[in-house]
Parts: sequence; C-alpha cells; structure tokens
Amino acid sequence: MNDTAICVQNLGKLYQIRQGHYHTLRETLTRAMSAPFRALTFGANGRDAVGSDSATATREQPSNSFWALRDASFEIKKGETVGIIGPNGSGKSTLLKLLAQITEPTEGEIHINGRVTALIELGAGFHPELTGKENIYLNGAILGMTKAEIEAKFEEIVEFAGLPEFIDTPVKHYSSGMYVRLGFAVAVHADPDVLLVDEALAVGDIAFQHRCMNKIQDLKKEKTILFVSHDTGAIVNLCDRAIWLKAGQIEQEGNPKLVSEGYLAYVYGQNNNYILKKNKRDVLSEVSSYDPMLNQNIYIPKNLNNSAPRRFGNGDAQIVGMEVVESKGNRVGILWAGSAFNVAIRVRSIREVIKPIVGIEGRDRLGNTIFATNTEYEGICLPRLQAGESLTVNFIFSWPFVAPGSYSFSPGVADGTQDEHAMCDWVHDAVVVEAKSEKRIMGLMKINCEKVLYETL
Amino acid sequence: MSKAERLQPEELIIRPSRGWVRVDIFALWKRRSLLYFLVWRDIKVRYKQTLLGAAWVILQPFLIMLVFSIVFGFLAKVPSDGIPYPVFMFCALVPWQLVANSFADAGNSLAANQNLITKVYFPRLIIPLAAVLARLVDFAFALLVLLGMLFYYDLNLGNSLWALPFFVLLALAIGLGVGLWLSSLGLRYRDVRQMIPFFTQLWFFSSPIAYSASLIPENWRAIYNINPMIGIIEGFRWALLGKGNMTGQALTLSVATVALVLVTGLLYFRRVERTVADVV
Repeated sequence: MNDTAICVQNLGKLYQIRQGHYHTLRETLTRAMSAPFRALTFGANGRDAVGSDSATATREQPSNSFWALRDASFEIKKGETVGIIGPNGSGKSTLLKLLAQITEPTEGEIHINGRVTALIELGAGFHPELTGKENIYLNGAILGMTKAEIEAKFEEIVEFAGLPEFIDTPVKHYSSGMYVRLGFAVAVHADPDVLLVDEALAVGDIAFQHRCMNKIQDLKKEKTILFVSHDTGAIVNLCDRAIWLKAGQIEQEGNPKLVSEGYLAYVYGQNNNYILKKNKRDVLSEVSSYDPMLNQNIYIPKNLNNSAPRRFGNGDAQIVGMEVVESKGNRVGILWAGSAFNVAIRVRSIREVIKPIVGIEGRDRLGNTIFATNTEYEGICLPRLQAGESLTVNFIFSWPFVAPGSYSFSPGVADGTQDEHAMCDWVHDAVVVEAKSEKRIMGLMKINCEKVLYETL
Repeated sequence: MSKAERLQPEELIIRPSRGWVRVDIFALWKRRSLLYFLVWRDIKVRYKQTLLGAAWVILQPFLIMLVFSIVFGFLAKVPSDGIPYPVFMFCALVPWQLVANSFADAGNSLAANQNLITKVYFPRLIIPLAAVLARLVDFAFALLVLLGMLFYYDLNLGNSLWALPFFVLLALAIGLGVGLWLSSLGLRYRDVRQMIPFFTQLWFFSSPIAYSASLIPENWRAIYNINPMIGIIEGFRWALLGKGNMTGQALTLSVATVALVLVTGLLYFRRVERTVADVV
C-alpha cells in the first residue's frame, strides 16, 4: 500500500443558485406537457438542480450557477497534517464536504485510504431527548463505529468529555459547552485514519480547547489530519503544510508560514479595500482637481473615501492615502515582532494649512491605544501647505514584541501644535495588520529582562 | 481493534456518479449498527416524549376501530364476511396502520434528519429504512390488542397463521416503497408534504378496511386489486381468521405492485440521494 492518504484530482463542485429550492409540482407538470420527452428524464433534472449536469461535462457554466470549487488537485501523505485556509466562501467547507462524502463532486476524483471522520459539526445527530450515554452510542454509530467498538471505548469517551455525572441526563439539559465536549469526545475516539477538522474546535471553555488541541497534537502523530480554518495561528502551529483556497481555486500551497503570510497580506488588502489611485472616481469627491501623478504607488484604503462616521475633522486637509510596507517596499499584512516597517501617510490640503502635524495611532483589537506618535513629537516640522498641495510622511518603525493578533493604524492630520491644534482629518482604523512573533509572547507584551539570578539554598 | 473489524474499505474513491445507481446492499450491511441505533433512537424518543407514549400506539387504532364499528358496523350494518365487525375492521387496521405510519415517517425522514444528512456521510437509504422498521414496535403492540380481541370474541386463530410474517413483510415493503417515493419527491416538490395526509385518506378508503372487498363488483375486481393493500389486508384476515376474500389474483397483483413500487422507489431514491445534502 502506498503512503498517500488523500489524493484529489481536478476536483470541482458546481452549485446552482436558485431563488427557491423547490420546484412546484405544477411547474413540472407544465414542463411535462410542453416537452414529453424531457419529462421522462425529470429524475435527471432533479439531480441537475444542484449537482452534476450534462452541460458541465463540456465545462460550460450555466449562467445561474457557480463553482464553489474548481480544478483542485493535491495529495496528502499518510501522517501529514495539512491546513486549508481561505476566507468565507472560498470553498473550504465545500472541499471538506466533498472529502467527507456529504456531497458529491461535479467533476474530478478523490481517493482516500482509510476511514474518514469529519469534525464538521460536533454532536451532529445528537438527539436532545436521549441521555449522554445513549447519544454516545448513537453518535458513534453515525460516525461509523460498530456497537462493539463503542462499548470498548465508552469509558474513555466519558472520561475525555469529563461528564461522568451527567451521562444519564438527557442532552437537552446540557450546556452548549458540555454538548460540544461530548461531541468532540466521540468524534476523536472514532479512530479515523483521516480526520477532517473544521473550525468547530473554537468552542468550549479554555481548558477544553486546550484539551482538544492536545488531543489533536496527539492524533497528529499517527493520523492524517486535514484542518480547515481561517485562523492562521492554528495553521502555523499545527500543520506541516498549508493550502490557501481563493474563490474555489488553490491559490498557494506549501510551508504554512509562507502560505499564511501570503493569505493575510491578501485578506488585509481586501478588507481595507485597497484601490489603486488611478481609480479617480473613488477618491474623495470634494477634491475636484485630483492629480493622480502625485499619488503614484500609494494605495488608498477604501474607508478613506467615505466621510462619516469613521473619520472626523474640519476638512482643511485630508488623508488621501496610507500604506504599511516592509523594508523592501512591499505592502504587508503581517508585522513580525522586531521587524522594521514603514507607514506612509499622504495628506492633501484643501485650504491652506499653516502648521501641519501628521500623526498615527496604533490600537489592538479591543481598541486600546498601544502607541501614538506624530511629526511634532518626533521633532519634525512640516512645511506650510498651500491649498491643493500634497505631502507624504513616512514613519519608520520597528514593530514591538506585542501579543500576536490584529492591530489597526489610524492616521490623522491637524493644524497647530500638539497641545493646541485643529483636527483637519482623522481616520479610524484605516489599515489593519496582523502581528506575529517567532517566539511566543506571554501577556500583552514582552519586556526586556536584563538578567536572571538564582541561588540554591 | 484490528483492521478487519473496521467499517470502511481501505481505499475509497469518490467521483461524480451519473444516471441510475444500483442499491449497494453491501454498504448497507456494513452500516447495520447505524440502522440499529437509528431504529432504537426513533422508538426510544417516541415513547419517551409523552406519558401516554406507548398507550397512544394502542389507543389510536382502538378508538378508530370503535368509531367505525359504531358507524359502519352498528348503524350502517356494513357486511363483514361473517366476522364480528370490530374484529373484521381491526384485523385490517393493524396492517394499514403499519403501512400508513411507515410511509408517512419514511416520507418525512429526510427532512427530519437534516442535521445528520448535511454533516455526516452514510448510505442515505438507512434513514427511511430505520423510520419504517421503527414502526414494527407499534405494530407488535397492535397485534397484541388484536389477539386480545380474538380471545374476547372467542374466535380461533386460522391454521394459516404461518403465512402472517409474509404479509407483514409485504406491508413493510410497500410502506418503504411509498416512503422512498415520497421522501425523494419531497426533496424537489414542496407539495408532497401537503399531499401526504390527503393521499393517506384516499388510500384508506380505497382499501377494504372499513368494508368488505366483496362489495366491489366482480368485473371491477381486477382493477381494484391493483391496490397492494388489498392483498395485504385480505392476507391478514386469511392468516389470522381463516376467512375473507383472499384470492390468488389479489395476492399476485399485490406482490407485483409492491415489487414495482419498492424497486422503482429504491432506484429513484438512489438517483436523488447524491443531491440530498445540497437541497434538504
């Protein structure tokens, strides 16, 4: 037997978009009247409603359908842990459903060696009226275990779920955390060769999440795991390889760290809706004589274009562009702790600004300001701006050793001094980046520890 | 746990299927544990939910029998082939309820198990099959009541009792067959769920439950006998009481119709099965 666990070739799934899922009988009868021959094959049409279509065999795409997944080919070796990453609607779930045989592919082939268990939804098939014990048996059977297998593992499952005292209580009385714990316990004891894990794991309390992760780390040693998530952190930690899906196609495949970076750069770019300056219409409508030449090579986050409520100021000057680039000048979505980066902010004056100050504030995902600075604070005095003039300020930073997660930058331009000024324009959270660290950071930040001393008594 | 005891084959190939798909008995057999637990779940839940749970199963046909006995037997004096009307009626009601409940449950089973279907794979046929088999328990209770009635009316069991399991099987087969059609069609046509009660009532009155098949004119019999319930009901009366209008023609036509409905139902179900997770 070869060492391939999963082999996917040119896999595709076509979905039809319809307003209502159901045909009415009248429609079919009417069609039957008008085309007796077609009526004879209405069973086939029923299949076409969502699945494979004879037209798709010729690779034509009906207008009201879309490929949730297309031309996906990859191979997973036995014992490998592979992460599938992608934004919502990129085909991750479809891929998982195809691998789990829940839905049938429209084209292509999948070869799987061994038993597959999908952790797509924990506790799927639990019946609220049945007790925990009864549901273990039921769910075990659903996941493909025999009665003898379930009996053999029953104690282990109960212990893992940590619910021995509630095992004879109907699960309708369980908290959602207990429910999920039991579901997870059964699923990981189904002894699969290939485990398909959806983001379902981000549930339960911290202690249980850790237990889940530990269990998966354990399983990782002997099983093949396919892990679907948009949490790049989990992918980097857990996986040997990552596959990035974008609009139903494989965009990038390889080292999880590299793939995550590519993915995040793309996602943050998307979310901030960077658009090229050449897109004149999208730029601030108040600026009548907009000069694209001045704005070469800078991207504008889209939220710079809509006025309220994410921005405020008297409008004497406006932020017209902002980007975060790494030392080589490439736009980035990830900032590694300790790495140098550059924030470019472009300002354009509408009326004369006598004493411009350009500033930036960084916030964590909870909205706490973690740093702030401005040109005056850094000892830079910007020249007076005539109406219509533009200016680009570059802040060159070194990213601190802060807890990983997303951080936002808010740029601002004011007229005056730090203590006394009129805010011309301020944009909340114009750019969002993901902070990463090679070394684990415990707490909010890492502080420099000069020396550690000890003595034995 | 040795590899041999495990359920899935070592290599699984998933590819698009087209056209008609055969019924994979082997796959069903491998998942018999699941079938068992689904049947067990349906029974357990049905009896767990209400205080009268188990009692309803007996009470409902019994009350129907009582009403019909008063209206048809006592007031309208419908002939009952020389059998006391309540026994005559109940003898037909027991298999009828098995069939009617089976196809109604099986018809709704895909929708009712949506959370399973969209999350886990297993041969979908198990779902309607479990729904039908779960009704066997109700049937057993009803049969006990029937035996009690035979005892009450001091009637002897016919000496063709050995044939009863065959008719039970026939009833299960038609229940499953119609259930498969209803559940498959129900995926595509919302109308089907609305039609089930009406269809059930229509079928009830076109079967010799409340009246005797002997009321049907001789030259209409051949057409009438296409209704597979006739063979089943007359079969029950014949097997239990040794009386009734059991004819070779009725039996042959019943078996033929049941086989036709079941086989086409299975094939059609298999055909729409692949899309079930997408539409249910």
